[in-house]
Amino acid sequence: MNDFVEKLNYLNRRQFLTKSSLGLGAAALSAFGNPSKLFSSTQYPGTKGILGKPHFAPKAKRVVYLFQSGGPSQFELFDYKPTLDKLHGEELPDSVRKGQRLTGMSTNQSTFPLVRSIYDFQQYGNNGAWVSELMPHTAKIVDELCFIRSMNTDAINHDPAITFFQTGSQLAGRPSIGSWLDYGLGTDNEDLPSFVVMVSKNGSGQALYARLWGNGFLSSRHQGVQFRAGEDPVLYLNPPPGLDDHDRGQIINHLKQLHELQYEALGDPEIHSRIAQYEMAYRMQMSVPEVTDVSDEPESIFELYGEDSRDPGTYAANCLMARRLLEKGVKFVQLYHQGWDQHVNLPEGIKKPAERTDQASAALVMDLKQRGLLDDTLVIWGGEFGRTNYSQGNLTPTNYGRDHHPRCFTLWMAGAGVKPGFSYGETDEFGYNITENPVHVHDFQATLMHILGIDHKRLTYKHQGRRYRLTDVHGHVVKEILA
Amino acid sequence: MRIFILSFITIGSLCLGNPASLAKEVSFNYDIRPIMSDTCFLCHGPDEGNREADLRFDIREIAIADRDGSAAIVPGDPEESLMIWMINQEDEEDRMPPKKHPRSLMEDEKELFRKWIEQGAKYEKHWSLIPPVAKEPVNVSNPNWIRNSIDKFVLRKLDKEGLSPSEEADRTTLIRRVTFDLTGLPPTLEEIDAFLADASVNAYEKLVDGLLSRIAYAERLTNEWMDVARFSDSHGYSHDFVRDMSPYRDWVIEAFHENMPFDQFVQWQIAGDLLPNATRTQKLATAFNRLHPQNSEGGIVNEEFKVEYAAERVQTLSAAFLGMTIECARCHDHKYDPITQENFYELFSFFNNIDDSGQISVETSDMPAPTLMLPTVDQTKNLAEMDKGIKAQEAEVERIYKNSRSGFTERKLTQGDAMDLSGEDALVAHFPLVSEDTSASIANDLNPSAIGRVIVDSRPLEFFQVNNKEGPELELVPYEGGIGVKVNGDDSLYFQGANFFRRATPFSVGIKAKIPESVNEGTLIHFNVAGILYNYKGWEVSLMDGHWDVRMAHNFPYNAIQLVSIDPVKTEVWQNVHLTYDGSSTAAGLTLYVDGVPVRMRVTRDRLYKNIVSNQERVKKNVGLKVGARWRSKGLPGALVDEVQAFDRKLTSLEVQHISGSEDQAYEDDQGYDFYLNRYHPAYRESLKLLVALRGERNALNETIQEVMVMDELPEPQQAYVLRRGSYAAPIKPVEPRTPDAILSFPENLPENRLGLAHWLTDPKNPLTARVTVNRYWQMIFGRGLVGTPEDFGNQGQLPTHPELLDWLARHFIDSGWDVKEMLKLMVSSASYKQNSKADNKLLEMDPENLLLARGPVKRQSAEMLRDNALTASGLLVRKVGGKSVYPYQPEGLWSLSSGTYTQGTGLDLYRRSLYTVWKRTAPPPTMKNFDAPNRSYCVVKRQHTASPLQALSLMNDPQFVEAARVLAEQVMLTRKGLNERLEIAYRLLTSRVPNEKEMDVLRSLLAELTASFIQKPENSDALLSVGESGYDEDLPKPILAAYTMVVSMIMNHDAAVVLR
Repeated sequence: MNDFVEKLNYLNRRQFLTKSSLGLGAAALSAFGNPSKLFSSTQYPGTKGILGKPHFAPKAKRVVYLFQSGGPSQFELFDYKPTLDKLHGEELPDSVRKGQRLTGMSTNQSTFPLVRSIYDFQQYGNNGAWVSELMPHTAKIVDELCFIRSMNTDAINHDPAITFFQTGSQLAGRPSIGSWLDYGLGTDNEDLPSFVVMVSKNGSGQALYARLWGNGFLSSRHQGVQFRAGEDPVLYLNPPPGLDDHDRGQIINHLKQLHELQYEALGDPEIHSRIAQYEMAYRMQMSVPEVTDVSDEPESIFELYGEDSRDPGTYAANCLMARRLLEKGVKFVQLYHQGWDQHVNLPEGIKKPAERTDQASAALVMDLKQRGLLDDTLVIWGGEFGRTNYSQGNLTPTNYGRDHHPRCFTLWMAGAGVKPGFSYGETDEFGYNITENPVHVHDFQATLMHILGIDHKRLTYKHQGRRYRLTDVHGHVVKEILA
Repeated sequence: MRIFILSFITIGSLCLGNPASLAKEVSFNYDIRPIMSDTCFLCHGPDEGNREADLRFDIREIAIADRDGSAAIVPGDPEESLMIWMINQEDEEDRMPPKKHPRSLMEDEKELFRKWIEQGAKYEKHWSLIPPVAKEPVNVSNPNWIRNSIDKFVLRKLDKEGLSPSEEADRTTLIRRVTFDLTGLPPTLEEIDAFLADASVNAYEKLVDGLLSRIAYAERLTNEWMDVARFSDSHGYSHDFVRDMSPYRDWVIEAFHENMPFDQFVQWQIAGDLLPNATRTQKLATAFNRLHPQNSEGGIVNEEFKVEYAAERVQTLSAAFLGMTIECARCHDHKYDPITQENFYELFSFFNNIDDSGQISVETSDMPAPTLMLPTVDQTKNLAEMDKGIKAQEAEVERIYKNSRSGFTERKLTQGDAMDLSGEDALVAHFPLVSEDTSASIANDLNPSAIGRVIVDSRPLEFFQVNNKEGPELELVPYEGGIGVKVNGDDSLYFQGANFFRRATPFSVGIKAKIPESVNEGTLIHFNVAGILYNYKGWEVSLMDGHWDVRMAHNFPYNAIQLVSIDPVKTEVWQNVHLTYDGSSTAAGLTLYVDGVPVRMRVTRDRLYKNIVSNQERVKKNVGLKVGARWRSKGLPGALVDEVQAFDRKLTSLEVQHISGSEDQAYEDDQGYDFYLNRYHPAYRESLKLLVALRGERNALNETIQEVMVMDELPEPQQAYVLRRGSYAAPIKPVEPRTPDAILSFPENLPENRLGLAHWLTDPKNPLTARVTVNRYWQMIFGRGLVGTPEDFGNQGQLPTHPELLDWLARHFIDSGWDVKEMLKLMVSSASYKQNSKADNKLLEMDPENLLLARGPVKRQSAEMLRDNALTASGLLVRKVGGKSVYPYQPEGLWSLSSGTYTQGTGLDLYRRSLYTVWKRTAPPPTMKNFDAPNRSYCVVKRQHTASPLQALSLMNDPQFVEAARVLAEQVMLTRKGLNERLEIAYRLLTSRVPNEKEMDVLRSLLAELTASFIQKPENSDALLSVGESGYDEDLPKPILAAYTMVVSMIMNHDAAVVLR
């Protein structure tokens, strides 16, 4: 015990750790009940962001981004087009298409018949937002949502499009949004990663890639950490079987002693970084199971998020997990749900992802709200592009498909910084082109950063002789949607 | 922004003593240009598109030119210089650089500008573009310290800074450092002991020579090169299928092992295929240009990705060899360096001449073409034997052909005209298209159970288990010849049973068709799953640009046959179309007939060397014959079709004429004889069958041969263009292959192709290649390059800390014949390298990054070294060299994000050196990624050096390390007696050094704690010891083995094991 205190004093004297820091020692190790409290403030190098403080007062402290991978059809979900009801089956007029590029999947079709949504729409909420019957839960919360119906992107295929949305470039190699935020703002919780990623186990479809949450050319400590369902939520988080927490603590304690000896001999300050690195790893090992153990959630919460939320790894369970992480101060939680890529059999195919995501997405918004967290948390729902107003493949009375469409699609946000019960941007009556207030992917990214208090033009990183930023050389903050 | 400026100043001040001290002459290259580049060039630099006020500061003539009575720079007169005036404006709105610029000027920088103009505003060429000159320092303070020329440069700099070098590191540290640096592996205890005991003066030299001769050295250098070459085991985009390019990696190992001169190493990789009488190995080396990510995503545009790939090759070329960010000029002139957009596309045009397809096949086993087949020695022998057999059989066919005229004459005499020209003996499917047919059932005259049907969108039903059977009814159209079917261009007639088409198998197909005038592109009849999605694997008869287009492909365009008709296709008339094939895999073996007359065709491709059906059973089963439309391809909307027939031999022209309803010919001529042989001559028919069988066998063996992507130049270069904003769809003006004059003008005598480019790169006059290369090796050995930005030797890169040393090394490298081993030996033999790495507080504060080299290097081990160290120390490491990548331990489910499953290897595969670990770009091995291994999607010449808690978790908990700890623990328990000896040996094995008493205390203390703990909870030791596949000696006391295991694990995590000092 004394030894521990002495060690602490020694450290403080040497000022290698911050004043309030606590090393790991016998006393600490005997108190495994709540270790994160005990070791919470050891300064780990790199927990502070490069900006020190935001460029201006942030509206949001954290973000949860519910990425709907595959390209959800705006026509069957949020962008109601009565004209298509009338023109159903008629050829897409050249005056609308204007010779624009289609994907290689439908460009060779002999015909391009317009197709209406097979699902009904109704108006909801105070501002009468149109929502389809596929999204009954989302429909109920439209007064919380800020719809952008005029999203558009440069990319027309999944890989470049999703890479573009998440990194600002269609090509691999740039840092993802979460990495930029961690680089810029640092973390609010030193026991957990600041950028957490979860992929639904009950989605399937287009591929995802670790580079979507990769650090690109930023330091790899800014990479997103994937949380997975099951007993080892973070790769290699758990000690090997048979090694209990007490013994792990002993090892880290002794390792620290070795490192102190090494430091005495060599005087390299990097050695103290290593000590902090192991202590943070240890704290993560303690904190992650705590945050991922949902047994303390009341029944009403599971009911709110839906039955799936009891099944770890589902979209609904991940939404619930997202809320728990946000509560702990995780800055950026990114969910991915695969399964929105309905080239054929859209009427049937779209049901599944809608059913699996609708309730939990809405529940997350409302749960954050009831906890007061929605005031400083931004929620984002959206995919990488929209879908065509014409049928890909054969159009029958009950069946059709839709190809990728980058020129317009719908995304919604909720919570901190954005106007609730608001809709922005318009598409033409064919749902093909934008007629009013287009929002490009870079604009979306600029706005997202703005809400977090970052001037997107001023968060840069010099790499290969050039200052890079998330928005490349583009992007405008969409002031109109800001609360 | 502040942070960048500060770090720049730090480097600057260390390079130059003190740049802010204005007493001495201001250097354009070292003082002025870096500031200009960072603050002025964005708007007043090389990029024409972005230039403001028609002013540029990178060219003196323009900067000093008169502009309405004044000049931006008036040499000698700062007060008259507009520039000085502009940068000193009071009002932020007026001041340069403008507010929106990412960085502003600091006061001392403004002062530098003033001073420089005062001194005459002299310009210099950028340092890295001036060819290096070797100038060795003569006078240094301490000649005794000097081991070789490197040290003179280092010492001169230290002298200037008033510093002295550090003592030489102790021998244990030295052998560990140099063994890891040159082999990536730790020294064994025997090697350490031998070195410690070797009192000879050349002990170290012997050690180094020994290390350089090891294959482990070649593996280490290869591992470095794999980052540069962005080597991986998967395609990288979308589903990211795994493909095997290990022969290239193994060639690199061989090249380093044999110490291939570096210029040759470069030449082979850039242009080995273009060397005179290129060998297989030289061609293999060009795989370097093909390792970029490639996209199989359905729906992309080929040309877009072909452009992407060629641009990527330029990017890799510039990062790997030139240390320039030339890719910046893809969309606009370079903003900082003298590289125009035209320069970029001139380089691009060197790499734009292969017959690749932008969208690669989703057939997982297809290697994107162009490819090279790499048969093993045995396979080569077998192939040769088979070819001999085939040749002999072809001769036999020929012999019978020559010698059977009499039978023909005899038959004519005895049987007269009674010959069957219907081809019915060979007919295997016949769909007459009758009024009873529906979209669900199209009758087959020959086999009522093998009916045809319509498939919606031409997508094979079973293929995706998609239930989309709804579709339009078959549109039957009566005409003068009976009843035909009108196809809609989207939904094909599908004859799944007609599925016997193989490369070695002769066949014929026939169809009657009336093609509307409105279409000039689309497929009529085909045997593919899809078009580009499977790179046209199979065969087809289509229309392209109004002409007949016949293809037979493994992987179109490179591995394929293509014939295009000379005359346009007749439309609006019924015509009988037949395709016959003889099984020869050649264009000559394919004949297209219209109404019984062979169509005059131009052969545009004739290189089919692999199968025309999928290797996947699921795909193979579903492919079938299809008419009128193809999945995700253009069909022939409005075409009428009738009488679809398939035959299992090559019909003779006489038969085709007959079936086409033309007048039957008399038999006297060769046509008749040909028909007779094929139809009636048993020996001839037998000999053909045997030929088919022999070819089939050969083709089957051929499928098992390793295939790799390589470069293979098109006979006619493809015209390259400057592309507006880099877009494939926006060509602006044509360009020819050339290199940037700013670097080195392209010598007249070189060919304007990749071979010329390769010689240009390695031309002794090229100012960059040698500098960039030695800098990267310096970085490998010293932890940091002499230029800290090895990827950027341009205006925005860092300046060299020791410019003369860099130049001397570059020159020396060239003069030595680009001898890599010699260069590395020189570096590790220098006194600079051998210094102790310990720094006192003063030195740490003054030079935290060790830019001055007043101490030895400190480096955290790379991801690969960490794992290899654990495997070596435990004795688990398997020293097999090369071969396919292996699948060591990895948590389950990581690959499920994209495609494929990770099937963990067993036995020896678990313990290979880390450079052999399979690398899937979308889901790289997590522990390697945590320790800063790059993604391998693009060329990386410098790894990041980060520390994160995830690294600690990996090293503590990854089963690979836990198992190695257990095996090492077991070894010391079995071979050593007594706790102290065991702990000491374990510590030595992992860190190379003997632990001191205090460290031993810590080890003993942990061992005691853990032993007590495991004795209390014996089930814990059982669980812990079960980690990993290798077993252990169960006679050992388990709690004690478990305790030792975790002590060893702790040592693995110790700075002494992880950091090379």
